[in-house]
Amino acid sequence: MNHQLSQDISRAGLDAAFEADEARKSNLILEARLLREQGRDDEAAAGFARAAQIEESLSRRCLEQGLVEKFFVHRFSAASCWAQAGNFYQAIELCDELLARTDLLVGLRQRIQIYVHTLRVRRAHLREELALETVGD
Amino acid sequence: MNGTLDEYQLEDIARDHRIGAGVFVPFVIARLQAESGASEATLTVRLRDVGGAGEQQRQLRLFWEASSAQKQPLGVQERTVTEWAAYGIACVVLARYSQIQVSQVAGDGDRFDYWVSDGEREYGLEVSGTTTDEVETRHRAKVRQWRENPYGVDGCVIVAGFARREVICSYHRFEEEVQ
Repeated sequence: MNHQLSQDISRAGLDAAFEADEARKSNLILEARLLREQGRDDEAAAGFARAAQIEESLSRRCLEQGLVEKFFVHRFSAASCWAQAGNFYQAIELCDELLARTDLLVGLRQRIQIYVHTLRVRRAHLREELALETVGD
Repeated sequence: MNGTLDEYQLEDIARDHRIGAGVFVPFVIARLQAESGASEATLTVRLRDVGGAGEQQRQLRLFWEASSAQKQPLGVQERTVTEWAAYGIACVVLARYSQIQVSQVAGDGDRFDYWVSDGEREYGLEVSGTTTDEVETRHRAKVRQWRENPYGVDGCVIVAGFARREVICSYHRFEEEVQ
């Protein structure tokens, strides 16, 4: 199968419980984005972390049902949510796990490579900033 | 152009989509309420390959309950008010003119904002809002952005122009557009 020819993502066979969790994580992300815009960063990070956990669960359930492309959607979204929660370690780990798969969509592989590179650069900047903060201690 | 006036109750977006779209209601009102106390607005909706091939133009009367307007400031920047109002308008247009629902929020790297679904399959939805007259220009830019989606999925691009009270909603097939 040529995954690059995909024009939609199948959600065949997913039940009401899956849909409910999908809605719950969407609402958490919307709420977290609004909190972030309002400068309430701690509450926003907590919301993104909860959404990331749900996304990880959704991705596992997709894989169990053989919905590989939808697994990619939820797994990459989990990485994105962890990054927005400030958990670079978890985000990078999920991205590396996806990049290790041989069946990853070509376009998605390129996107994840760029994304994980950005995360690593920002983590390095953060480390440098923290080192400067503590240099006089 | 069809001369009939379509209607939609804004608050119904909370019922018509799988995500909690009701959160967008006060943002839509903030952008469409020309004067304090107004409870409706009429939009020109340009549908491109949505509900039929080619372009159709519709007039849509959007109305809401006075109690749905935010009494306090929304506490976010003006650009966020515009963007969230556009999300609400997208939910209105999809509910009124298509058979698809917003199924979930997209991730940061997806190059579009939401996933939409007909129940069996999912597609991408890119949404943007503007308070300038440059609705077509913005729409073209957003189609270009949507074409970069890493999943190669078909999808919709919706741009809401609040100055012109005009909405462009277009459907795109990924394979045709990316050569």
